[in-house]
Amino acid sequence: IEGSNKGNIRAAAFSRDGALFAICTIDKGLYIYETEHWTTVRSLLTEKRTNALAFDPQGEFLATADKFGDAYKVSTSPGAQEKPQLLLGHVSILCAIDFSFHERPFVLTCDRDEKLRVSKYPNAYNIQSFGLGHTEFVTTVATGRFALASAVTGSGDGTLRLWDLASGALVQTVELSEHLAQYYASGRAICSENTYVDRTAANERYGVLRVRAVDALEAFVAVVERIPAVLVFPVRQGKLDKPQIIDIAQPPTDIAVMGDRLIVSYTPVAGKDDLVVALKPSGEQYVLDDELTAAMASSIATKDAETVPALQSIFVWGNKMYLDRPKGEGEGEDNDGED
Amino acid sequence: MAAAEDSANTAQGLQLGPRLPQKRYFRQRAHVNIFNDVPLDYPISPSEEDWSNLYPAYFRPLTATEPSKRPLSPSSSAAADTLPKRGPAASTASDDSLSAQVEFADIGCGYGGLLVALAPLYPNTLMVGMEIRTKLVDYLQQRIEALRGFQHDLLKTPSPEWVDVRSKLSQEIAALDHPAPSTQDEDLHDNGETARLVPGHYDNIAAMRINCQKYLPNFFKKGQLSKIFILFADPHFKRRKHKARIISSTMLAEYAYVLRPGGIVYMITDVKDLYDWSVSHLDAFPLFERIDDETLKSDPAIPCVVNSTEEGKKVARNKGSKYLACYRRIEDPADI
Repeated sequence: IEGSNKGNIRAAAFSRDGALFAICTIDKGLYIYETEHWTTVRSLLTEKRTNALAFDPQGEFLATADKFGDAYKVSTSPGAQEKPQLLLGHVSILCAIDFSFHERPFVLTCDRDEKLRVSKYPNAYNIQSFGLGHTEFVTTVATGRFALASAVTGSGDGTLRLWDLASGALVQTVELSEHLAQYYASGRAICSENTYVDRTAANERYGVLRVRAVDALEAFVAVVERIPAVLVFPVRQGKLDKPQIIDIAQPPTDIAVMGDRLIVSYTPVAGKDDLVVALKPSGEQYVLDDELTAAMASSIATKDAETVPALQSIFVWGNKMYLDRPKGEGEGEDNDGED
Repeated sequence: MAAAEDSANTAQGLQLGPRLPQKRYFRQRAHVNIFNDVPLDYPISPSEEDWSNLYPAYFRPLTATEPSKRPLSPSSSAAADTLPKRGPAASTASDDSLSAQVEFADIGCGYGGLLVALAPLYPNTLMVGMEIRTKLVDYLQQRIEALRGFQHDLLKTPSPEWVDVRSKLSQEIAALDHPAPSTQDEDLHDNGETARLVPGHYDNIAAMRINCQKYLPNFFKKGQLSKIFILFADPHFKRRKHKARIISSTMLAEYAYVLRPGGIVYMITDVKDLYDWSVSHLDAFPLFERIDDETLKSDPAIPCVVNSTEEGKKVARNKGSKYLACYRRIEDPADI
């Protein structure tokens, strides 16, 4: 895509019908493209840096979630000029935003203070429920047509949780340590130098990076920081069933779904060229889709970099830092909160 | 200090007894940054909260030794005794309407003047004061404990006198026309009753330390509250601090969530700019509808809202103006 984008891309999203694509950059840029010819539909600067994006079910608006806790809706009409309208707000950093598949959809927002908020849409001032149960920042939320009443969230607390959206009730908690402890035990969990040093000495952390729904398989997939694996949870009787755990070569940074294919991006590692891998279902299992992987690799233009920048662990910004503060600073000083 | 102690001791005739704390030892600057992560205790969800620490009279199962305590929740079964002391959601009774739960919340309750004045007016209603400043919470918790102590001691005396709540309130309001000349008197004055019984015995009020703007849904279930009080809030004058204001478009959604339809938000301030801001936000918010002054006249809480807080009294002493606006939580027009 030709673009005047400067700065790293923080988040990207397709509209449900695939006709629109949006990205937001670290320097507060927001760009919406139509996918037929990849022309720019809208480009603007947001007030605060956007953390997450989701198109509303009709594709009429792009919902953005920023680090100040506010979610806005941006009109996707070509050439629209009006400023983003405030949709809702948390008093906390927003990590994820998504929509449910109901006739009258809910907008779901997740924040650093352990909350999933379920609000009506477009009347997002009307909060339907709160999903309360996570004990750390909530990084991601996913909804699927096959699990209409529910959503699945992932968190820095090492769990996936399944919620009933209408009531906010916690239906199920999946402890990832139960499935992934083997990666720490066998040394396959890869910790970079910049990994946040956990002062509670529980170094075996499972920070969920992303949960996605796979409509084609009626399952939810998840990737976890440092763990070179993809977890596929089929949904049976309204709950997440035993997961299939697929090994991949390197720890992931993100996962996306294309039909029944899973696309995983890798943490960049010096000396290795692989940036993405594709997986496809084969019978009951998932296997590497070499064809698609090769096709993607050849279409990604890369620059040679001198050094590979170290990725920041999600626990660096996600964790509450008050234990670090010198005494007396907690109440009083004027401070917007650092990145 | 000596004078207060003497009056407390005279009421009891004892050397040791409940003592009202002195405000001067609990002062803390008004401004606090709510975005900071300050270590606070909060439950993961409302059903995890143990309210018995705050309202021991309401959240303890009946035992043979304390027949005078009447919990609102039906805890007659033996199973209730084995239950840990917990809030209503954790009780075996599935009928929530019979369980006690907090219904009034004073957001930024300060020294507690409103709660102490309201407590006898609604003796069967649980009210909580929420305050982020540690020293003030400590003060108010000690104050409530002392007031309860006085009440319980009075109950042990042969024929204790009951206060006439209405006339006491009218007297206090009339006294505002003759304000106390020195700050020493302000410290000593406490609108709580130490010498006579009040309905509810102050068992129905409590204070807790909480950042309301982050953790309201952690403490209160949807539609749990029937009244929210926001009195003399921090104005946060700077434009970039406007999001920290306690009435903002984002917070209104949370107030609407914890308030039941028909519930009321009471807002008063002496800062006209803050009043204008708050009113414009509340007017614009689809789930709140302004209550006209005529209707407010019959609301018994209003005189307390206007007159009973320490801040309100300060404004009256300085001959400042008070701006009051009250809103009712209504059903969503978009859903009808």
